[in-house]
Amino acid sequence: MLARALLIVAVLGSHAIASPQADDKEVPAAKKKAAEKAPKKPKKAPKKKTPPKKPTEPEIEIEMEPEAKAPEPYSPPIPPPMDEPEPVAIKAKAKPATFKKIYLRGGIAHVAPLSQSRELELADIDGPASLAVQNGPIAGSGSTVSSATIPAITIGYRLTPRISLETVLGVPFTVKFKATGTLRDMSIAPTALGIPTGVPPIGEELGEAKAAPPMITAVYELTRGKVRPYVGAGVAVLFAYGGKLTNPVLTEVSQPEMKISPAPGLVLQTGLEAKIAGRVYARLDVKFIALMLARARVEHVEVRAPALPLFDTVEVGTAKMSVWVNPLIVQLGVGTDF
Amino acid sequence: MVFAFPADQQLDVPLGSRIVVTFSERVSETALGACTPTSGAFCLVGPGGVVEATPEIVGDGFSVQFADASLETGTTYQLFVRNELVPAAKNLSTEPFVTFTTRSARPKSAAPSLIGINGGPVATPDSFRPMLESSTIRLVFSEPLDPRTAELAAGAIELVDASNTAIPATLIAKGIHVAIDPKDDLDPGQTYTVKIGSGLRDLSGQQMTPATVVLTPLDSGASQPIPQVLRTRQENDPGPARSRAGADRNVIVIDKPLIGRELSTVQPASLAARLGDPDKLGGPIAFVIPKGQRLSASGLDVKLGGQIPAGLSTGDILIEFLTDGGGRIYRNPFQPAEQRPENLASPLYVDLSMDIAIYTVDPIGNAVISQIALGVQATGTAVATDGVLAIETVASMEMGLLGVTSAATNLVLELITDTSATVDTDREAPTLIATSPGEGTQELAVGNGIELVFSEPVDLDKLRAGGVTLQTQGGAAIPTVIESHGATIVLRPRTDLPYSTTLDVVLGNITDLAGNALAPRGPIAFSTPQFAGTNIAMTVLAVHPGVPCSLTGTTATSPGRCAGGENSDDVYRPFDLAANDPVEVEFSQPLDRNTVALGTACGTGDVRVEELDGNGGCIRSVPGSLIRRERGLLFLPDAPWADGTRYRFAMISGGDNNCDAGELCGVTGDAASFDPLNGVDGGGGGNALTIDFVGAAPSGATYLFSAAGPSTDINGDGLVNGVEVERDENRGAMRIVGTTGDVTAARFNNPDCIAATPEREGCIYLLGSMPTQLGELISTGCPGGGSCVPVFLTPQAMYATSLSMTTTVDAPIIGDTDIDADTGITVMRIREPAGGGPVTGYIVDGGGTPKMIVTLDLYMDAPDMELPLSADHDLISKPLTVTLEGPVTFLADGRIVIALANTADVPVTVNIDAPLGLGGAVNMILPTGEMKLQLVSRPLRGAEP
Repeated sequence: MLARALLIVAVLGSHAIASPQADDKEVPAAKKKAAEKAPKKPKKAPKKKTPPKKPTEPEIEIEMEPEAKAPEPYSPPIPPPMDEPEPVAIKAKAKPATFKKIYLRGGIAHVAPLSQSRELELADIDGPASLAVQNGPIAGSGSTVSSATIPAITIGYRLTPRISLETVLGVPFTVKFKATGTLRDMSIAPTALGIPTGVPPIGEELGEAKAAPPMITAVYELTRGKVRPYVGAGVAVLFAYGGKLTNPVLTEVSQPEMKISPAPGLVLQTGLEAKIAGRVYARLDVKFIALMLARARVEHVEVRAPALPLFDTVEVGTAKMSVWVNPLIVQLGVGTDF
Repeated sequence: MVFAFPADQQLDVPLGSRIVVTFSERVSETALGACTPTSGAFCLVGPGGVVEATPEIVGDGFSVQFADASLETGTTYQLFVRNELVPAAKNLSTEPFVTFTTRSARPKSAAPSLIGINGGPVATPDSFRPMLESSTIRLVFSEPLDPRTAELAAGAIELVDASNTAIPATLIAKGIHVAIDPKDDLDPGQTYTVKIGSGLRDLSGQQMTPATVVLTPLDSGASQPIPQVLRTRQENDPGPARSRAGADRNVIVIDKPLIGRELSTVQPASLAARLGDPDKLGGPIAFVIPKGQRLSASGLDVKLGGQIPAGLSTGDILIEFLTDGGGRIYRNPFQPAEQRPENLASPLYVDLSMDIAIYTVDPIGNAVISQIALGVQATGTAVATDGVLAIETVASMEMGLLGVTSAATNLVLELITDTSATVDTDREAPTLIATSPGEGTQELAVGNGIELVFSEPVDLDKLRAGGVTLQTQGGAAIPTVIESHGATIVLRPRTDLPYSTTLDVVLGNITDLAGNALAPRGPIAFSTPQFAGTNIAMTVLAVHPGVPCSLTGTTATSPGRCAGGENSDDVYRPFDLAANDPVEVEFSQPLDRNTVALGTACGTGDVRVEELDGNGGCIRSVPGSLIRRERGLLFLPDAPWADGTRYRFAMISGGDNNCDAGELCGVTGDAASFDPLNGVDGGGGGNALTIDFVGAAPSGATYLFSAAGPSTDINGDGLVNGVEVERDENRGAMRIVGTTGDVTAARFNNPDCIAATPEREGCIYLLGSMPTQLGELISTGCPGGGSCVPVFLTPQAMYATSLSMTTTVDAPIIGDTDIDADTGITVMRIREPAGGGPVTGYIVDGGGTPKMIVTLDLYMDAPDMELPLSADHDLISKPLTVTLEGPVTFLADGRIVIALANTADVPVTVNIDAPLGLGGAVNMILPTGEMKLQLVSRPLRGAEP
């Protein structure tokens, strides 16, 4: 529940930061219209300085496309240094160039964990289970996390024309945990005191959980133009909730409780954005979230020991999985700027 | 409630067992209170109502026990555990929670019968513990068996398969228990039959009620066993912190007034075990602990009464599985069947049945302790934790003590599984430590078996296959049965041995159960005593209760005096008999057992035990068992003597010497004589020996019937016959120290008794037996202060052989005249203390070893002494006082020996009156240390049943 709450907070937080609608609402439509039309109106020569009417009033911004030119009659007294082809926001006084601060790219994202797990670890083993297994790692065991493809929206906020902060919003996706190695192929408790237990190998399927990896990255566009490569970096946290074991062996007796701790990671990002038409952009984004160690804890695991009817079922305590998720997220999206 | 001992429906529960229940939560101390048959939190109810016992909360508050319940033999009890004890308990009710029946090892008048098999009744042999293919079959009988008949043989005990083919097995028997351990596992699903035939007899010779029991062993998967190692749990081993049995774990508690309360701690040891297939029994897992394996426990420094050092240190006590032990691990029976095992709320249950040998490292200790315990039923719980299965079982057994009694022995044994442990292999060969009787001696009583005390238990099968035989010196085999008594075996002849015979025990292939062989050695020779023919009638050496003589008649306050004594003799005080004591008689000669007829109605039989009314009239014959021994009788009533009830014990010998029907006779062919003070050389017959006594409450004292041994006068005729061997251990040396009056000189004509002294002493050799009671430790009234163990003696008599004396009388006219006279048999009767109370000796600490001190007031009689010339003597009811003192030690074969000697000269003056006014006296003494009386307990294992 905590994870779920955190996830909600995180998602809501992302919306709060990235929602263009929220920004739009703060701007009166007339002014907005005016602002949009401003570059097309002939401007009076700014003979004298005109202070802003209100501090909160939005500046008149002009998004400077690379090919845009200042109006002929205008000749600024002190031309500000500009890096072509960055859009330049120019204060009203000088009709400064401006840029769209918010952008949104919708599409799909494929999350492909490059997972590598530690050995499954057992803990809190007592009672009959202690006759079969011991606290500690199960040699040769492992687990992986499945990939997922989900619809996703990238929302960015440009701090500068080339630097932006962005996040990805997506529907929480289902992550499936899979057993590997001896965990998959061999019984975790083949014998107790040398007595066959009849506990079978559990197979590949382990469990699943809903996951959402909210992240925030700082993106730097390497070039401006119709095709804009960019790089970025940031942080992400994998929130998982609703975890449950789905393995038929481990759930035959009861449904153990599965807890997955939030897993932070460092995001490395690169991508390419291309203008398709007008203000429509296509985007290929690749993120790699490094150092993301997901820790899952399954408590009160009970298994049936069919060859040991004396016990029938045995509680094997707690299983702890630690998976380096390190997902590679490839996202294709189309969107526009606002 | 998660555990109870005894187990519900358990039969054959030893007396003295701790009764305990354990809960998963702490019990309410305030709930313990008074019990009625229908109320009370923790109550034990028997046929007579609520049993008086003190409930104790133990086991860190989780258990309640009765450690002092006074249980009766062969009685069914119900244990009520009600909710107020643990309000949260879900499995308590108003019904009895546990019902169990105590062991009855008392002989009975009814024909013996099989009453239990594998812990359950005969009709439902699988009801308590299912028969498995790997099981040892354990039988319980209604009364002790005659070991001479307990064997695996047609007509006795048989184990056969469906085609009536005998199954090879090892049979071990002791008392009411028989264990049959098939050499190989039985075939599951096949039928086997245990046949009990009439060849099996009880101690009184009654034939067994034939019985057959069909068993169909279950398949527990023993054919593909899963090996396991069980190790005695030690202090830092994994396992549960708290005992589920509410007692110290791996501790053996032995509690008996004779030695006080002793604890022995189980030492580190590992046992190999085999688990069956857990799927075969649908849940329970069978297990087997193969025979031959051992546990060890710390030894005991035996202290009489718990304080007086007995001079006996046993060394480590070893416990060896004589047969395959085994049982099952199963779900807690106090919880619903579907309840999964949980360590606290529903621990696994364990039952373990075993037949064990108990012996010790110290040779003397081994000879004292060596014994077996059959049908030991342990119950407990198993908890899986910390990677081990910790099995804690509670067992109770009766352990023989010093050969004179048995003690309740409670053991909580905790074993843990340990896959890394190894089981020690026994590579030590057995050695022969001692024999009873001693090698080369003539002390092999014709009714006894021969004990061979080894350093460890030996393989019975090999012994019975010819590993040991008893032969005449001509090589003829003497039929014997071979009994196991732990590290000791008994070679018991099926019939009495002949007197005056030398026999050889030939040792062949003897190994321990691990196969280590005894070093070869030559035959061991023993001889039975030399028995010279005699025409002296059999008389009584000792009788319990009572005195060994016909009495002059009962009054309201006394049973009277010995017939033939002086009228001035003390009158005896009324006799009583503790509830559980036997009537026991020891004769001076072998008994003609064919003449013994126990009365079954008032006034019938030549041996009568009758219940009397207030006027002394017979109400009924007391039902019981009469055990006929070579030189004795032992009667045990079916029910204990009732406190305050009058009884009569009588033996009839007829009016003359002839052995007529209805008269008790000796092997000499004469009727017995019960009035020795009237002379023994006048033939048998005469007054009956009649002892009236009153039943008394059970006593905490230990009954010990000892005899003067070794004795010289084997045929009890009061003479040292040529073939009899003079034994110095029981004799008095009379020394003439002077004469008075007309007696001017006197001398003994016998050989000098003590060659080392300048005087010529005459030896009188003692014959007698002494029923005694070893009381509980006291700390007042002991000689020298401190604590001591009182020894209560009954006013028996000792018989002494005749002395031949020549006295010189200064006769008128003719001058010195020699008068030759034989004293004939001398009777020394113990007098009861004038101040009241029993004759009491004391065992005190004699500097690390026990020492007995007793002062006896005696009457000395020479009833057959006749002087010539119509002279008379006063050796009739002549009072003597002698203080005896000596060490209490143990023989190499484990018997207790009390070697007493007088601490001061005992003057004995014989006055002679002759015709013509002649008179005088011969003054004699029993010099200090020369009145020797050595009392020896019966052989611990080889004694006549």
